[in-house]
Amino acid sequence: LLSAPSFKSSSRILILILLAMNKRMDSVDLREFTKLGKGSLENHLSKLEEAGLVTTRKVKFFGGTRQTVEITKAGLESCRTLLQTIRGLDGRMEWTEGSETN
Amino acid sequence: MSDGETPSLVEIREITNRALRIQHFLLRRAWGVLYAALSISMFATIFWTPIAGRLGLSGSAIVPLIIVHMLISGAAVVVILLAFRRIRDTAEIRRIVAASKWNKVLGYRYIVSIWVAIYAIVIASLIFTSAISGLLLLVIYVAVWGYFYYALRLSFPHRLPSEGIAALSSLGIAVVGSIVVVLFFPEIRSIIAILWGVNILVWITVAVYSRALRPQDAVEESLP
Repeated sequence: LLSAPSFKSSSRILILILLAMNKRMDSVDLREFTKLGKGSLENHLSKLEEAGLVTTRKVKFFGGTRQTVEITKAGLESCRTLLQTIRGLDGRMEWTEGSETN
Repeated sequence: MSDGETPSLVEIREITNRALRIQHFLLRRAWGVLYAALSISMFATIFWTPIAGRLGLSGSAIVPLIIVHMLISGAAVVVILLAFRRIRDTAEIRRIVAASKWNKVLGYRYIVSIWVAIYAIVIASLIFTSAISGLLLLVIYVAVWGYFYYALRLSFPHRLPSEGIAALSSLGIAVVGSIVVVLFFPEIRSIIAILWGVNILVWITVAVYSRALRPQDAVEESLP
């Protein structure tokens, strides 16, 4: 799984985990949280879409258009499998949610 | 960010922790809608009688009272269920990577069942006593408080955000204070209105605060 092209990028893994928790996200929000440029995000999304892990859709919004990204069933399964695999390999390490800001 | 090569285990762990930090922020913002919906619900539930009086309706008429309560709390339940999907999905991912005692997700079946049970009790009390006891309503709010504590813990298992603590504290004070007044000081019932008025103001404030949160704190840390 880890050698799949979709997972050969920290950004794509971050996008996939965020989508696994939110199901659907706006590309503007994704850009903000991943700190990727517009072109770079589109490139990552097209790779994930080619792999069948996400679907993208343009929706009309207040006269303009917005792109929404939704995780597919396969994407959700891949994300869960990836995390379970890593958890299995990385079992001795302490997983935390990090320093949550208040 | 590494691209084109498989990230190391440590990198993936850090990416996951970062995703959970971002999600922490997203959930705090999402809770703003819940605080707002529930402050409206609490306002209408507690202050229905004087509102109905102002509108020229009989505030104590049983059928409109039940309809209003069911519509308002039903709308609040729908909002809770919509928000809960995201909380549930987050908890499921978190459960894979981190052990936490706050990972057990209660789905819509539980929430709808609780809502139905509460109204069964309310309607039964109307049939047998012809009035909704103020104390019964307060006991229901004790259950609501417990549910919100659980939902907040599920959303933020490591540390509750400040606005969540404020909302829970003010609701707790309003409920416990009202029960004490009803049981021991019934002659000063007007205090109940003050307690709930303050509580609703706190919930509106935390709703506005949650919606106004900026994502900088969540995204500023550099990725591996």
